[in-house]
Amino acid sequence: MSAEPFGEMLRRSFAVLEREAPAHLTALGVALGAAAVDFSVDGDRVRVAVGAGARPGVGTIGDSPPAVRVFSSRAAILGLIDGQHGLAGAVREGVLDLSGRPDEIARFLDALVIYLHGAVRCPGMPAILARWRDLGGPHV
Amino acid sequence: MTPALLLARGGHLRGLGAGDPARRSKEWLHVAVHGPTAEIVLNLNVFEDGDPWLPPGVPVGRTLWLAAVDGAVRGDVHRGARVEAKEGHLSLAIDGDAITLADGALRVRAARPGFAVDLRLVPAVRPALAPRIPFDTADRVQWFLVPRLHATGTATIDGVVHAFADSPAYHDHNWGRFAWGADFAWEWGYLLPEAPEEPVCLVFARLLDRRQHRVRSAGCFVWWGADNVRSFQDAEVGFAPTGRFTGPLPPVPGVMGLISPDRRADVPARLQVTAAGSGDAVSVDFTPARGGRILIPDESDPFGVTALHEVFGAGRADGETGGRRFSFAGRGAFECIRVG
Repeated sequence: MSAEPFGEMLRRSFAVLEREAPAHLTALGVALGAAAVDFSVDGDRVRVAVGAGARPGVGTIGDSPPAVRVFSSRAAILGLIDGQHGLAGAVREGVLDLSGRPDEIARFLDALVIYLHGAVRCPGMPAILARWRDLGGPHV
Repeated sequence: MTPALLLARGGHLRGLGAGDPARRSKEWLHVAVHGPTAEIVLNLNVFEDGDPWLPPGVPVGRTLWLAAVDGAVRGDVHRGARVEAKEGHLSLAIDGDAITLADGALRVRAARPGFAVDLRLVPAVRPALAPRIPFDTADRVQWFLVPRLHATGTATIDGVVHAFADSPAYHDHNWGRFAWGADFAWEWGYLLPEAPEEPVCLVFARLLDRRQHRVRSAGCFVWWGADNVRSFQDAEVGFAPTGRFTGPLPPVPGVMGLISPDRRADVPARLQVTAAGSGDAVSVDFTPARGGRILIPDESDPFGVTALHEVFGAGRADGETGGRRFSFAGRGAFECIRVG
């Protein structure tokens, strides 16, 4: 089984958040506000933004510029998840590249922490991560 | 009765039951082993998850491990899909990781990425029970402890096999109801003698409010030979932490470090515990050497984190109980809860 694209993993994780930690997803939407965040991870490009029903979701990158652009790789993101480096270290080492106005980057980091607070409380999240690690976690 | 028989009689699983609508029931088995080349902690815990998709009383399991090799500590938390908890027996298995009482010893097995153990822990002392410890206004937790065992077997850490032969080990078992993030914190530790012929070992603990402003209860428990010969309580016990531990405390699991990245250790560089009463006295001087920061999402606050700082170290204990004096050097651990 080959690794799935970052965007697919992110979509699945948002579905788990919606089901198992809906309050965190609501808080994530509030934190993002009107800001869109574009991710490019190993060439897979997706946008996170608040959509219908004020719920944040994962979609395709549109014509409008995002508030923040994130460039990274699967290896770097797994390194963050596994505690091999912190966010600041990843930025310093160049494996996580954030671009945008400082206040928008700060807003993105706040939103990221809210997402993580929800993710670590979701019983369904380890399977999402296992699948993305390509260790054959169960399909959901 | 032998230590093993008393362990079987008192150390069995109590089960979570289904009578708690708030779903705060928890139970865990904890072992720590101090070997010549590695120190390990394995904690198998079951709890009721707040997951509304699960019916009440269904246990969710977690394997938590820590390993210290050459001063470097790492660990992880695995949420298990298959829990086999034999209520009434001392036998708990989570996805194949297991702590089971068999043939008078604890069999401890686990296999996680980068970490595997296969150990036999023979109890050297009779257990003690600290009942109904008040965690919060309504929550009570029981603490069953067997602080001195002899561990034999292996731990394979990052592919390197570490052998244990009658190495000093510790075991305890807790069960009760509480929510992570509620108004409590604990500080707890033990000192086991380096010399196998040394008859004394010690456990010390105190329970505080979450901000550590008020001590709710304290205890210092002394074993001489196989018996818990002295239990100092509350006002008899004093904790004197000094300095600040400056070594690394890696987050466990690693992902929690993104939420709680503060690496300033709220762990003392040195801890002195004294206890005195009725002509008996104990003094413990413990120095943390290496450890990790186990980070647990709060149940009472959707954006809160509780940090269990778990450090291995060495120390000395001196004292007198029942007219007999003791003095020994030993190894042990200290754990303190802080707001993460």
